[in-house]
Amino acid sequence: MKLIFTLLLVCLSLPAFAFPEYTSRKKALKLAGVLDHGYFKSIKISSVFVKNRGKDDFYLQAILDDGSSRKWLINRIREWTQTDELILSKNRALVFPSTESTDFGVLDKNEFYRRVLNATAFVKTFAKHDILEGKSLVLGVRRFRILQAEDKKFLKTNKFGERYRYVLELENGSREFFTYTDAFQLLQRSAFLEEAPENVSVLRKTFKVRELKKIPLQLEDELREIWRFGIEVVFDSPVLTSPDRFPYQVVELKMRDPETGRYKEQFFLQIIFPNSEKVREVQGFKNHEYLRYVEIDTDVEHQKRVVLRAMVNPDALDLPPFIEITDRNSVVVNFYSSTDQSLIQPPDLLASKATGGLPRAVFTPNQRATEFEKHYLEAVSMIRAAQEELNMHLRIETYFKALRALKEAALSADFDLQIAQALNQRDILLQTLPKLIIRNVQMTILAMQLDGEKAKPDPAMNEKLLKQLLHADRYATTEDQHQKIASLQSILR
Amino acid sequence: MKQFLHLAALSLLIIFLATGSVFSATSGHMLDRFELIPDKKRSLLIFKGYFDPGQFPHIQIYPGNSKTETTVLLPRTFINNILLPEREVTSFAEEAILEKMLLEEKITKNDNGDIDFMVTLSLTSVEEISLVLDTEKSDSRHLIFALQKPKKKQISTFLTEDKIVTAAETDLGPPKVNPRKAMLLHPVTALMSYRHFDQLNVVILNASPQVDGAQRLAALLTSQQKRRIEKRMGMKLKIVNISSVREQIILPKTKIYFHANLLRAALILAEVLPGEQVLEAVPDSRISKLATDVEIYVGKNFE
Repeated sequence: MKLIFTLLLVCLSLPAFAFPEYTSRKKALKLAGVLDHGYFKSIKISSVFVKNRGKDDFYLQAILDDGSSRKWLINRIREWTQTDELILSKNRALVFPSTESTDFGVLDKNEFYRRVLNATAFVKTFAKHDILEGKSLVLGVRRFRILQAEDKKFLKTNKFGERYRYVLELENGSREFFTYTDAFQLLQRSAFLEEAPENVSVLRKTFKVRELKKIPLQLEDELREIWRFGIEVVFDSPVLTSPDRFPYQVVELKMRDPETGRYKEQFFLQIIFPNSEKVREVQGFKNHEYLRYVEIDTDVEHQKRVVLRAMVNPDALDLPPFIEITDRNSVVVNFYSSTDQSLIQPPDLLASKATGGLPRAVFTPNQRATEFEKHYLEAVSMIRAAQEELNMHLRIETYFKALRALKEAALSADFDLQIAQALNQRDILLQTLPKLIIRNVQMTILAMQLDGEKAKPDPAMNEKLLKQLLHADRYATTEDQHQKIASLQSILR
Repeated sequence: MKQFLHLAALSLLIIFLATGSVFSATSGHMLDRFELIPDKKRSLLIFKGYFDPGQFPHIQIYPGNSKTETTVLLPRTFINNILLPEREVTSFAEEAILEKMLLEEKITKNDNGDIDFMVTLSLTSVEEISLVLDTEKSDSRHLIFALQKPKKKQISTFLTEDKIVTAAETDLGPPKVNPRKAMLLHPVTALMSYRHFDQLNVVILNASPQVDGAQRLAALLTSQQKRRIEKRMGMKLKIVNISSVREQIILPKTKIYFHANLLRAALILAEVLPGEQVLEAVPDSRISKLATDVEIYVGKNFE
């Protein structure tokens, strides 16, 4: 019991993420070889041996040129490399890329200099917890320098205690500071390009914001009554990057209410534009649909970034924004609104009753397309194409084709989720079609009447319209619809 | 000797039948033995035993602490202790890509009184590998993982601890978006493609200087706000994991990462949680097949 208590106390007294003191035999042997003939506090290292504490815990024992013998734990070796007390031979540097494991690497500084000095472009990959995490931009290189005493970051360290050593100045005006570990990892990632591949656009200057434009509200999806509006951010030059480089975030801020003086949570939707600058005043808007105080600002925490910001009521934000890059030197941010609350309510479907790790979507983009996916993709594409079709007759015909594709999808479904989704989509279409067909037949008859009484109706067209009406009659949901259909049928006959 | 062998065979049979009946009742997997088939391009790690192909989608694969480590979670899995007694395997062929394999069996009782059983495989490879479950070749008697080297560009002049750190090529070209992915990216077509959830699986991770930040937030969510959140979201809220971030990262503000199509749920959580929050979609580089829908990183501002 006492032992357990003592162990517990020891565990609690240790920092949660202390760097390990010991390593594996294999790594210790490698590390000993690397440290051989280096310098420790300006004294040459004669030889380094591997010793062990238990079966799996290995450390190093160093013999220095002054005859002294030292026990070197791995965490101490890491600290000395950070403070330049331990220097490797042949202009190399020892790096520990992870703060939790004793994995190490050796940076050949000469190799690094050769790479960076020959580089014309730098692949900047955004770090963890940055909104652009994992994404890369290829930026033109202006100049590389080793940090000197007059530099602001000279001898300064990052949050892991590693000193900044180098600065890379980029053509877009930003600067990147590197530690030895950064340099090592950048080389590993091949972040320095002597020549950029043909399909890659090297960003040599920032996109400068010129103006913001409102895009008015328009119908996006007649089946679900989703409306779209937007904001167009116009830049000074073509935006040579992909839409996924412009992510969005929602930020909650506590702000004082000017009237009551109380703090109140407000939500802001922010679209981030990397490699961008605001160099002159750009007029925002006070209101645009459900957005309030729309403005574009410089991101003060990151270099060369601007943020399109708007206050939103979180309850209005049913669907996320969607980014499109235009050929007009601009980026359009589309916002969506809907009055249909069923969009956010879970439907009473079989799929929603299942527990466990069901797939999130009917598509599995990383695997080979299944028969169901092919048909469902075809159906969704046709529904989207139909919505853009101005000719009502063609639009209805495309919807009919989509219904057939949905039937094929349902027949080839493998899971409840797939069949439920296909049938749900079919039902939405069937619900809307009678309304559209009635409108289409009314408009066609009206057009014929406008052409004059002498104009003879095309029998083929007549037949098609009657077929459509038959379909509409089958799925009409109100008495009014049934009456209209009967009346239209009698006119056509 | 012959009698002993008969007895051993008989006891094995009894054990099989006994475990088999439990197994079939609960549905899951049983690992009997394994085999590593080395190949220069694509090695195969084959587990033999009894498997439920319907449970294959629940198998989770994560990267480990270093690039050479991979962890595989096999939920609802037992190890046949008679046929597979070893828990640490290092005796792989010299040309094999694997260096070490640890098997850990965990049996726990959950709140409902049900027994949860799972096996964690910790694989250490000689070099960086990408491990994928071969669902096409796996069946009710075989569970097959393919081990292959990721696309890399080696920097030969680099002196590194070669087995630990390897170089990877960054894909610089425009992202390749196939039509199915494009459907999921557009909010309106995504509506037609995502399923609606009846349960939101939440992970709470501590990224604050206070050790118990994640626990306190979890307690707040479950004891005080759970019903309110569930009512507003129209789905159950389940906290599936509470832990700390490995990278010693302290975030100034609590961050809510949500998977595609779950912005609405994340917004409801943010409205309910005290303090200021930042909401972002889970980055593509971190999207996994894990059954979590929302990840909350408790930041410094959480009091």
